[in-house]
Amino acid sequence: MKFRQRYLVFRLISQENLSEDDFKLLINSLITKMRELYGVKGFIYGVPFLLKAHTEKKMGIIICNNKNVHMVRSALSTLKEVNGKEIIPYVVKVSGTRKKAINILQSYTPKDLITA
Amino acid sequence: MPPSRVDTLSRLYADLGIMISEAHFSEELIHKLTLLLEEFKYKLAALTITSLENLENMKRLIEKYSDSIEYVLRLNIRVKERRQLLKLLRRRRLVTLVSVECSNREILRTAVRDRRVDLVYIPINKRIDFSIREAKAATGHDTLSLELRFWDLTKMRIDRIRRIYRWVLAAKKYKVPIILTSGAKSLNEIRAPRDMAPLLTLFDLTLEEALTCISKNPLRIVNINKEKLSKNYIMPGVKIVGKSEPYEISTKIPGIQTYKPRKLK
Repeated sequence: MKFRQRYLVFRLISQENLSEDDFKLLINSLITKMRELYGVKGFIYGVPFLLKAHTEKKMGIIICNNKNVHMVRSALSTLKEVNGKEIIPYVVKVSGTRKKAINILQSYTPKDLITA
Repeated sequence: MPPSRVDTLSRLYADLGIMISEAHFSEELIHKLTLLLEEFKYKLAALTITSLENLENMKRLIEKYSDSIEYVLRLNIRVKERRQLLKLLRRRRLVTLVSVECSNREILRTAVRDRRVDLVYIPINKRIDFSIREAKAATGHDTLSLELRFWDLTKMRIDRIRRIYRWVLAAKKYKVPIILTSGAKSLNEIRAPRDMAPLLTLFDLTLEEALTCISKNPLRIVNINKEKLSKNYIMPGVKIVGKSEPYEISTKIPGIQTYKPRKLK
């Protein structure tokens, strides 16, 4: 069985500005949530970590294993706030290579979605 | 490309459980909601109403914004007595979907047997189970399905996980469709379908089955109900496909013109 990495390009819809620290906190709460939902089994294939954060676009890239993409996705979607700021996280695209993921992050123009 | 991957890419998604209170609904909110649902690649969304008072207003709002996202209305019935439930179900034809929030076992059993009910929802804090008995009763219906709400599944304790797992097993055994909805009470609680579905893998469903719970199953119910509510529908299997002038038969068809009904003794 081969383990490959997957790059999740995600976006946080929020009214407030997000800093890089917020993205780091997000990853910490993501790991906590994964442990809560899937237990130790969720970390068999490794712990997800943040590769890049684009604070202006409120987007980032998470690296995880190809076997636990669905766990990371569902755990990410259960997060409601980071550092007291309300967010709607969602995965824009899952890529197999770092280069392509960074390209997606740079070329993506987020629509202006105003949240209530 | 393997067939399963093609299937995943070409899916259409539906969220049948947007639970934003009807009192908060305005044009601005529906505009924001439409933008959000478009971004998450939904095709259909059901807006929940708890009473039939604001029905006309809601219908008017929905019609205005039904271009990119198809909106339907869902009546959420929350009663404590069987008689009240049956009384409300008489007005079934006013909305596309009817769901029953089961507060006790009597309501659950009535809802499961009634053909007018589309979704059965069991609140996670109530001590009622969607057991094999209920699943058996639900098998004969074409639309009845078990609703699981995403935000309920995230606030779980071990005993609750076990209960939901038993519901899912019973539903799978008797082929009762499971439907995953967001259960969003505000715009901030709406999530992308492909992010929500993997949570169902906790209950021994494959990723394909989990995606079906948010794509094919809800769309199937809405399509069946729309057909039932249309003017051309007469009964299951019979519908009007067109109207024309009555015509005279020139050639004799043996067995039809000569047919005489038997007299009953």
